[in-house]
Amino acid sequence: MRRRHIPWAMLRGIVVLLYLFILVPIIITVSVSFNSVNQSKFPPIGFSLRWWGDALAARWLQPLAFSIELGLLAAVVSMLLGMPLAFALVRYRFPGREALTTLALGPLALPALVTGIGLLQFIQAAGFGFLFGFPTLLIGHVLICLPFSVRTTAISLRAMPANLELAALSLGATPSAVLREITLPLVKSGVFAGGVFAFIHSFTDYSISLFLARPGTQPITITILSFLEYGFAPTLAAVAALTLVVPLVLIAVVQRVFRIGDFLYAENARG
Amino acid sequence: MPVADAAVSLRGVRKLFGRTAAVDGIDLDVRQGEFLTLLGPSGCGKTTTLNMIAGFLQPDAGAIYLAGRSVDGLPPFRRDIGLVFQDYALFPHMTVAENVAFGLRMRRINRTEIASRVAAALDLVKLTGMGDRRPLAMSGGQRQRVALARALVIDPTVLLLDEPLSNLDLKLRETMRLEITEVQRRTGVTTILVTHDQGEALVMSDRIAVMNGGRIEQIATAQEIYECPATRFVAEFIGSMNAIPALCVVAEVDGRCSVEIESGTAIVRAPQKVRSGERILLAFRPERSRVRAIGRDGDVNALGTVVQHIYLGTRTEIHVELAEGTRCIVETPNDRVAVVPRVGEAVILTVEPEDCIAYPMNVSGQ
Repeated sequence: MRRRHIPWAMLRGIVVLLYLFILVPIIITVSVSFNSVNQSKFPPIGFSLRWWGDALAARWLQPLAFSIELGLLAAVVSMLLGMPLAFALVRYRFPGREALTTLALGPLALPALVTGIGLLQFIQAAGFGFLFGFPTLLIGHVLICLPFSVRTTAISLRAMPANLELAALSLGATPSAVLREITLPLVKSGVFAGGVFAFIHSFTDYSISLFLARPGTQPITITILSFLEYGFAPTLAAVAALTLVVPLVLIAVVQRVFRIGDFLYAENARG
Repeated sequence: MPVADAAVSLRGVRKLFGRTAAVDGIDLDVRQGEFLTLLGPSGCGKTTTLNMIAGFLQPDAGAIYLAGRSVDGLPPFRRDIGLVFQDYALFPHMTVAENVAFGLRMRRINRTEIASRVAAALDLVKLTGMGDRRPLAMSGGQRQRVALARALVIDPTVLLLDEPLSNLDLKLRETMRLEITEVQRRTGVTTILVTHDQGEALVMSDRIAVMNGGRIEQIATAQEIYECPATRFVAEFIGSMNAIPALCVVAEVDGRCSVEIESGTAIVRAPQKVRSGERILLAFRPERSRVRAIGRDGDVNALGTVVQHIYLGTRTEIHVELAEGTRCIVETPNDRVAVVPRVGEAVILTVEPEDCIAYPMNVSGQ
């Protein structure tokens, strides 16, 4: 092996290790769900689909559907709130801008657990107790999803040449026409990407739901968590694999429409 | 010129950024159908002036008139202006045809008319049949043409070009200069070009306004600007200029003065006010000066030594160091007749008095 090949071989080795690190737990979980005995053995003993039959029962499918619903709603609301917020933060310099940035992006840095406790106590103290249940859950999820839609929209806005809007104005477009014809179409992929991230974040969250979920409004993560108290059964492995499918399918579909990586890795702007 | 007769008029326009005046009192009249260039170094206020005409900035004082009408407080989208940006600012989510149609669509013109006017505009800029392309898939020169078509199709009162060629490579820039000029002549649209490139200004414009420090130093045709620069700034900004220190002996009243240099006196032009007894600069173009073995009667003569030759193909630059220390450049055409003296040879640099201009020592000339 020639000397300059060594770094490449090392890089390749590290990449393989990283993939193993990510994929092995998933592979183990999925294979455990095919056990023929009621034990979480790996490698699985025999082969059966009975745990999958259990997982596809209403007691699991209902919270799964609820999680999807909650995620969709949280994504839409945080997109609608995140757009004007990103606009204000990117385009205008105003007193309190820094504070607003921190407020909008804060939940990203804060453990969701802290946000959850804070929200719970606030709602109780402020006398909004009647909101407990779905409304509170939605508020909590929007709160932790907002940073994603604000960031991706801000990235799109910054990537947009400022002259485009001036050009449209000079061509006779009123400010509202500029927004409709130029700005919105050009930031829509950023807004949409933010929505996708928001959905995935909401769908996989459990720490904020832990405080805010009530019987009847339980996301799938909480259902799994409470079942775990009785031990890990192959059914859980099947359910876990099921919850993995939702975000994976979503990302696969979205990646075909636009390059989501642009928003994951871009610090300020594309190009 | 009365405001009513001009396509664009500026009267005492000022714009402050903080406490500094970016534009410091500009009066300007652009005639109907004229191609006028605002030329100057960066920071001279040319782009600020353009942005005020477009309506992106409001002047702090003075008034702007488009087609005889004051546009005070009128937003950009009601000014009927065609604007071509340095980076073209084409809408990336629209096709070429949609880009060009945008201004017409905003004016609620019916579809069939839009289609025919867009096609005509694309013909005009030699992009016939390219309407379905995406701007991002085009070359710099093609994008430039799309931007031009988009600005022209709305039949603007005035076409504003903001450094439109500076993103193109040299060869393309030279072709586009001529093409834009040709399109402008054909459509007869009043045009204001903003540039820092003197070559662009000289080739394209009917008249050039040379700007410096937020003011217009001179407005004239390319030839006048080059041959009779009104100020020392203009003289040095356009082309290259030799300047040797001299003494103004008598300041005449008719814009001339008699100056004295080591070899004698001469009567030369003095566009800026100079006083008798004042130290001045005697300026002349390299291609108007000669090196000779002996001086010529009636010419301005100065003794010097050849320090360098630079061969430039069509001509040769001879660098001469004068006895009092100033370096001058003499340009000789490479026509086989001209004799180029050797480096180190003592020569006499001569210029005819008509080719000399006297300027005050300080640049501002106030």
